[in-house]
Amino acid sequence: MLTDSQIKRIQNEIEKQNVTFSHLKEDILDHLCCEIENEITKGTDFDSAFNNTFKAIGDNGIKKIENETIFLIDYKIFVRRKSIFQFATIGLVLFVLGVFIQLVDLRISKFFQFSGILVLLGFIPLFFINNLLQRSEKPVLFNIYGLFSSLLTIGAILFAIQNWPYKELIFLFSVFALLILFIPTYAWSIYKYQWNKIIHFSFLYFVFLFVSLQFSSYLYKKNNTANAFIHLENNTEAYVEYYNSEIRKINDLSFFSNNNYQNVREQSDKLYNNLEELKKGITTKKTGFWNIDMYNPNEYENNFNNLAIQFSKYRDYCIAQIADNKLKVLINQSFTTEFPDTEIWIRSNFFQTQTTVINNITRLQRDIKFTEYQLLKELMN
Amino acid sequence: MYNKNVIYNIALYNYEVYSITMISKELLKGSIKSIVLKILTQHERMYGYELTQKVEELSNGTIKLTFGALYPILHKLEDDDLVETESEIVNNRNRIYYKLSNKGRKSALEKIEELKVFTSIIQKIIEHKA
Repeated sequence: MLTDSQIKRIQNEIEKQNVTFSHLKEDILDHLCCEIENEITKGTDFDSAFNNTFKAIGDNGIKKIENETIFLIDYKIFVRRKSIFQFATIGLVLFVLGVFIQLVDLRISKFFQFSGILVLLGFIPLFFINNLLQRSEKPVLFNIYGLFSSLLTIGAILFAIQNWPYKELIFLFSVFALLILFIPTYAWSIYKYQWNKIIHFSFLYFVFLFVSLQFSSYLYKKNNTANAFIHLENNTEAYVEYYNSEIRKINDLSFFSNNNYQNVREQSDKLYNNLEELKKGITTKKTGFWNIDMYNPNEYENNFNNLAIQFSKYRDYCIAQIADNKLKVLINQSFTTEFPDTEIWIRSNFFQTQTTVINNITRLQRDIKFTEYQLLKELMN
Repeated sequence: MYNKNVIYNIALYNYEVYSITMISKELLKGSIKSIVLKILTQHERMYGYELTQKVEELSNGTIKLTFGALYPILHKLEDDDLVETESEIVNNRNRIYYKLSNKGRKSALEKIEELKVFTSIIQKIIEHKA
């Protein structure tokens, strides 16, 4: 008769092949124990009987038996299982291809990467659904929580890409579903059902790392001062509106419409509209195919150079009109395009990500309106 | 297209797992189900290893069923409600016993009859003299 530790050793060896279907694992454990006991009664010692038996089975012999059992019982389950993993392979291939194509063409590569990720995202819920449909020893809770949190995560990604409302709320829900529901159930299942601990725990570790990275980046975004600045920048349109209304008030009082006054308004409007057009051009790029950030600063190189020239002209003109020294310094600082040089001004403002560039343009528009308002006030006095 | 591929895989695997001496696996493959049902009709309940031993004993050691051949068929029979299982702890491990259900008893008789007819026909063909 075999001792407990010997049985445990056989069990661990079977465990390595990850058999989950019904009570097949128990059948095989008992069968192998009987075989080894039989060998021992013939006079072989446990170790060599153990080695002989598992040598005959091979590296994934038991897994193959499981496959044939599933195949015999339900051909559909077998096909479904295989095709789901083929589906995932396609996704991975697309993604890896995308990474390599990045060296040649950024846009085609983005398309490949994006579709690869989409296919992989589809694979995860399919995997859990398949587990639920299949009579396996895998716990129901693991699959239900897995399905639930993976669907939430996909939802969060979709909302983030499309920039729909409540995207942050759904993101938080998905992170909490993963952290509170899925990961503990998964860890519990590994112990309860004695899954291969090395494979499963390393996978779990990566899931946990990924989720906590996502979560911490979310918190970082919330608390980062640079980000707060961008949030403020998003409100620059409110400033522009305020200055516009103030300018209108001055306009209504313009019983002294002289040449200078008209000139200021024309020049600033021209610059403002130039910026507005540029902004529209960049913004529509975003709603391109797959909604991917398609902004390429090199396309606008000429526009930027022109802008720099227009800016310095406008600044010089404004400074010439103003008597107040403080205001002069202020306008000079906010409109400087030559510090340290024009090239760097263009790079720091426009050779950034799409959102940052749009923010920068809006900020410049706000500065123009502010200056116009100050100038008109100055002229009125 | 897919079907072919799967069947190819299964055939390949059969080659590795069915270790049957003397009698070729192709000949035996179709009758394993009937043999298992036949043996179960004569016993109250049996476990997997016991079944393989019984087959070996009855065939004078010519048919050695490995667990790779046996368990897929036992699980298939269980799925078709032809056999029932009960588990019991023996020698510190879970042992699963298989026994025929009422439906299985009927099916076993049919299968045995079918095999008898088949072997007699085969015998007739083999012994036929022109």
